[in-house]
Order: sequence, then C-alpha cells, then structure tokens
Amino acid sequence: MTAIIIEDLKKMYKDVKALDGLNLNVPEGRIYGFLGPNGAGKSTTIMSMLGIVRPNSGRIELLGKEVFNDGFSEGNLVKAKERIGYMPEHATLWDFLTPLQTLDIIGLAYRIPKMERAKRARELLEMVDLWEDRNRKVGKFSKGMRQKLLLVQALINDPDLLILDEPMNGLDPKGIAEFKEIIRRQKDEGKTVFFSSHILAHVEEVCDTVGVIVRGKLRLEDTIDNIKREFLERGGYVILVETNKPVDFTGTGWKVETRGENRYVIRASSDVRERVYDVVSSQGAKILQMKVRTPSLEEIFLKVVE
Amino acid sequence: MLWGTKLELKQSLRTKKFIIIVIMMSLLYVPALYGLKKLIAFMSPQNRPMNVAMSSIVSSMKDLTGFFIALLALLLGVMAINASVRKGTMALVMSRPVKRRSYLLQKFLAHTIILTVSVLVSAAVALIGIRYLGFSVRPSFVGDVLLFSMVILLAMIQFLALGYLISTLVRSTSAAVGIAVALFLVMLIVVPLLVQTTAASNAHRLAREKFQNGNAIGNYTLGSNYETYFNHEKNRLMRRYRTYYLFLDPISQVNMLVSNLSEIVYITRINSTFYHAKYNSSLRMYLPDKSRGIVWRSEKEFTMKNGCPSVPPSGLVRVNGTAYYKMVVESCYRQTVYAGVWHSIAVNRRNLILLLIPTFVYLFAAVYRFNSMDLR
Ligand SMILES: Nc1ncnc2c1ncn2[C@@H]1O[C@H](COP(=O)(O)OP(=O)(O)OP(=O)(O)O)[C@@H](O)[C@H]1O
Ligand SMILES: [Mg+2]
Repeated sequence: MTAIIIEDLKKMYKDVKALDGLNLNVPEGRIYGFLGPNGAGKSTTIMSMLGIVRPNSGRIELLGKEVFNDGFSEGNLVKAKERIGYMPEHATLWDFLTPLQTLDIIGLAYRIPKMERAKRARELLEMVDLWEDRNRKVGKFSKGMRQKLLLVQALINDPDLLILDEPMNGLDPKGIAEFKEIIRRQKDEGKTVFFSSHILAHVEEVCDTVGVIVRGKLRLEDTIDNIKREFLERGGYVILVETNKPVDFTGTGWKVETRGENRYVIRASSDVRERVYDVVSSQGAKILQMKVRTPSLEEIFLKVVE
Repeated sequence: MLWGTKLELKQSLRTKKFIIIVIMMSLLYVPALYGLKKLIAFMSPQNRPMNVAMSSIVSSMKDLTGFFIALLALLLGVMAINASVRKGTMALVMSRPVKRRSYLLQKFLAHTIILTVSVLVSAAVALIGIRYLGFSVRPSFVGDVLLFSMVILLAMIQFLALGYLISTLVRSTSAAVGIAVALFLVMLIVVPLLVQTTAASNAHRLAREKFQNGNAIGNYTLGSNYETYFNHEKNRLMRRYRTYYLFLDPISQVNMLVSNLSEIVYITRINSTFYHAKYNSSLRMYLPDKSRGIVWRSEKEFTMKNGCPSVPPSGLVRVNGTAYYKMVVESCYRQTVYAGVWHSIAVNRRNLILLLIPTFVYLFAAVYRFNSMDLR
C-alpha cells in the first residue's frame, strides 16, 4: 500500500498560487524528506493532507483512504487521521496546560483509555527528557522544549503515518539525536514518516527518499541513492587530484581550480578519471591522490531549485 | 464523546476564563437588589409581595444589565475561532480525528455550558439576595427566577452565535472585536432608539387626530386626556415595533417576553361568591377556581362592557360538565394580578420564536463558513 498519494493538487490563497498541480507518492515504510525553498508550498501540502487547509482541486489518498477528491470526504479523513500523527511547523501548544495535561487531552481525542493515556504520556515524556517538567506550564517552556513536546504529541496514538513540518527547528544536538532515534524506531516498526526540513545534512542521514517542491510543483522525487547517481551522470562530477608536482590542465575542456600546492579540483560532465591520469603522466608528474567527491544533498538541492 | 467540548471546558478552567465569567455574571442582579432594598424600605416586613421583587429583577434587563450580558456573550464568541487559528492551536486540534462541523458545534456547546452555569449562579445570587431582604421565597418564585434566567440564557446564546459567525468571517481578532462592538451599538442602541422615536412620533400623530381641537372624537374610555392616550398608544406601538422591527435585538425580545408578568382579571360576584374570572375572545366566561377544582363554563355568550359581562346578567352554568346552576352576575370589576413569567412567555410566544430563529441562522452560517476556511 502507498502511504500518501497526491495527484494534481492545486491551492490558491486568494491570489497566491501555493500549489500548482502537485503530485506526490510516498510508499509505505519510507522515511520521506520533503524539501523545498521557503514559500515553496511544503506546509500548504501538509496542511492540505490533514484538511486544515482546503485545496481547490486534485486528489489525496492517505493510508489507502481517499480523503480528498475535489472536495473532502470528512468520514474518510477522520478515519485516516485516527492513524496519523502530525507535528505542526510552529511550536504552538496550549500555554496554560502542562505537558501531562496536553498529552492527556490529545489522547482523549483518540479515545485512548485513561490508564493507557497516562502510561503512554510517561513513556513519551521520558523519551524526550521532559518527564521532569511534566507539571510545568507549557507557556513557560523554551522553544526547544516546546518542539520536543510537539513531537511526542504526534506519537500519542502510535501512528502508522507520521507527518512532521520542520521537526528539527530549534532542537539542540542532543534533541536532534533523540529525534533521529525516534524516526529510526518508527522505520523499524514499518511505519511511514513524512517530514519537511531545511537541514539537508540531517535529511540525508535519516531519509531514504526525498521529494523537492518548487513553487507548488514537485521537481524531483526519488531515493537518495538514485538522485546522487543521476546527478553525477548529468554532469556533476567533481574530482579531487593531488600530484607530486604542478600540472597544466589548460586545453582539456574541464573547469579546474587550484586548491593549495599541487591540489586541483576538476569539474567535468562525465567520469574523466582516466583522462586525468593521462594528462598528469604525459607531463611527467605522478598522482598522489585522486577521488570523486560525491555531491551532497545540499548541492543537488541548490541545483534543482535554481 | 464530544472531545471538542471537553477540550474547551478544560482550557476555560485552566485559563480562569470560566471563573471570571461566572463571577462577572454573579454580579448581574446586584444593582437590582440594591434598588429593591431602597424600595422596600417603605413596606412592612409582613407585606412584601413577590411581584415587587420579580419586577425589580426583570426591569434590570431594561438598562445596562442587558447590554452587559450582550457584550459578554458576544465577546466570548467573537474570539472563539479566529484567535486559535491565529495562534496555531486550531491546526493542532484539526489534525485529530474530528469532523470540522462537529468540532465547531462541540466548542459552541462548551461555551453554552459556561454561560448556563454562570446564569444559574446569577439566579442563585438573586434568590439569596431577595431572601436576605426579607421576602419569603416560595417555590413558585424560584421557578419564575429560573424561567427568567433561561430567557436571559437564550438571549446570551444568540449573542454567542453571532460572535461565532463574526469569528469565522473576520480573521483578525482586533478587527472582529471592533466589528462586534459596532454591531452592538447599531443593533442594540441606535436602531432601538430610532424605533422608539418613530413610535413616539406616531403616537403623537394618533393622539392629535383623536383630540382635535381639544375634544375627543368617538367614545373613548381608557383615559380622557391627551397625555394618557399618547402614552397608551406609544406603548402599544412599541410592543408592535419590537416584534416587527427589532427582531434582531435579543434584549428587546427578552423585554417583550417578560412584559406581561401581570394580567387583568375580573373579580366577578356570582351567587354571592367572588371569582377570578377570565373572558376569552369569543366572550365565553370561564372561572378557573382551582381551590374548588371545578371549571365553570357558561353556556351562553356574553356581551362585554369595560371588560365585564353585562347582558345577560344571569344564565346557566355547568359545573364539572354535569349539573347546571343558575348564575347571577351581581357585580364585576377589574383587578391586576401577578401572573408569573410562564404566563408572560405564553402570551408573547412569538417573541420566543424570534429569540430562537436568529441563533440557528447565525450558527448555521458559522458552521458553513468554518467548513470552507483555511485554518492557518
Ligand atoms: N494564509 C495565507 N494566506 C495567503 N498566502 C499564504 C498563506 N499561507 C501561505 N501563503 C503563501 O503560500 C505559499 C506557500 O507557503 P507555505 O507556507 O506552504 O510554504 P513553505 O514551503 O512551508 O515555506 P517555509 O519553508 O518558509 O515554511 C507562500 O507563497 C505563502 O506566502
Ligand atoms: Mg512551511
């Protein structure tokens, strides 16, 4: 089964076109990173799935239930939401409630029995180191603490699909490590995680699949491995060479930068390692080190978004 | 299971909103009680009629107290939706398995519960205060105060629903409050004032026609001078206009609903016994004499004079539908007696409907609007 299917989704806010025929496909059991520049429509997409924002047209299917087809089916949406956890972009919670009260009232929405709610609340708060602060008002929390509570409130119903909007915003390194741990655990249990983020290094680390949205349209959607391979093949080779004496690369048709003594960065449109070897040896020099630098997700992202 | 209601109640308790509203509402009748205290200074402790207490409570709705409950309920509703959309907690709520329409109604129910509790507390304060002032509070009086409180509650619920509608139409909370206050001024102050002026000028016109050149035309018995006639006509027109033009003003409807706390009965002496008689529109006289448990219904139609039967002065009367008695009307005169809130509502039931209809219209429109809103 596919966890999320979005087809030709369109959304206008008055005169702003936020989603312009978006297509999305998230297979079950994946950790899906949803990327895009500011204002691309990530939050709009996520809120459309949950019915918080009302799209104009298109189709949305969540966990096998068609929740939107040019209009919401409230019944299906409610059924789907029973098994979804959502963490909003802004760390807004009820300021006058404590973490325990917050989790309790949210658990009630899923009709979780009282004892079970208390047990689950304890587990979740301990998981993110908030158990000590369980009886403090959330209004007095720091941004990172709110963010942690916001994350665990999405887990109260043990969801099959976790939808997170920029979950790592404001977390310290320990918080980020906890977050990654939680995500991995979800994956191990066969759950699907869909999250938007700007911190591409982390996305690269935890996600297996990414989608890139630009101005309301999906630009790219694939596994990270495939994307990298394709990026290399499409002209993104960066080769680092270190030789024992200076080498003149003029006339080869490559872009070459000198990085320190006898170190070169060669940018070419294909794998030119053998020809580099030829050029170097033809000038009587030796290669001390040569490697192809794999592109970071960040580089790919910037290229795609351009 | 009404999760939205529980959520809202829980929050109102934690933010002290609940208790603040209850405390504010408990002060509702304090000015009326104070007025009553001044009033009864002239009465002997043995003779403190309940209708004096009741009418002082009821008349408090005619002044600032009415505006107070209106503003309180309106402001409670006006920030119900837009504030949490602004803040972002609405997204948190709507990501749960709850239908949009249901959520709005569940939240509305929570606010209705808060208003109900506070109205009941205000009624309790009124009753305790009246007892403290030396009245003997009988169950029928408790019933009347509660019934009146329910009428107040209905008015507040209408304001609440109007607030909800504004809250779904206007995103900015400060703009919404501004619009609510403006609507409040127009609907509850400006328009009623215009209507009142119209009633007065029309009454003047009628009185002038009646008393052309200082002489009454036709046989007029209610009062013999211009002043009395003018006041009588103005009241009559105002009652009419409250129903026909002020149907969007719940305070006017509340005032109408409690405008007939007393009724005119005809003390009729028949066969040497006095009865409270009522005469209905077909001029049939019936004598509800509860102490005897019988209903007398005349078999013949009466003609009336000044509200009392004149011809024939005697006839046959059936008691409990069995025996016939000879009846002689020996004397008859009018008297005003306290009839209670229920009677007043029954007489003005049209206004009860006018109090309910806008509530449903506003709420329906709010649900419709909420259903298509972007909650971010
Ligand atoms: N309530 C709104 N009214 C009007 N326009 C809006 C509203 N919310 C969002 N937009 C517009 O819709 C577009 C998409 O916004 P969205 O929040 O979905 O972007 P995003 O990808 O989440 O951005 P970010 O990375 O900054 O969170 C933007 O152009 C934004 O200005
Ligand atoms: Mg966003």
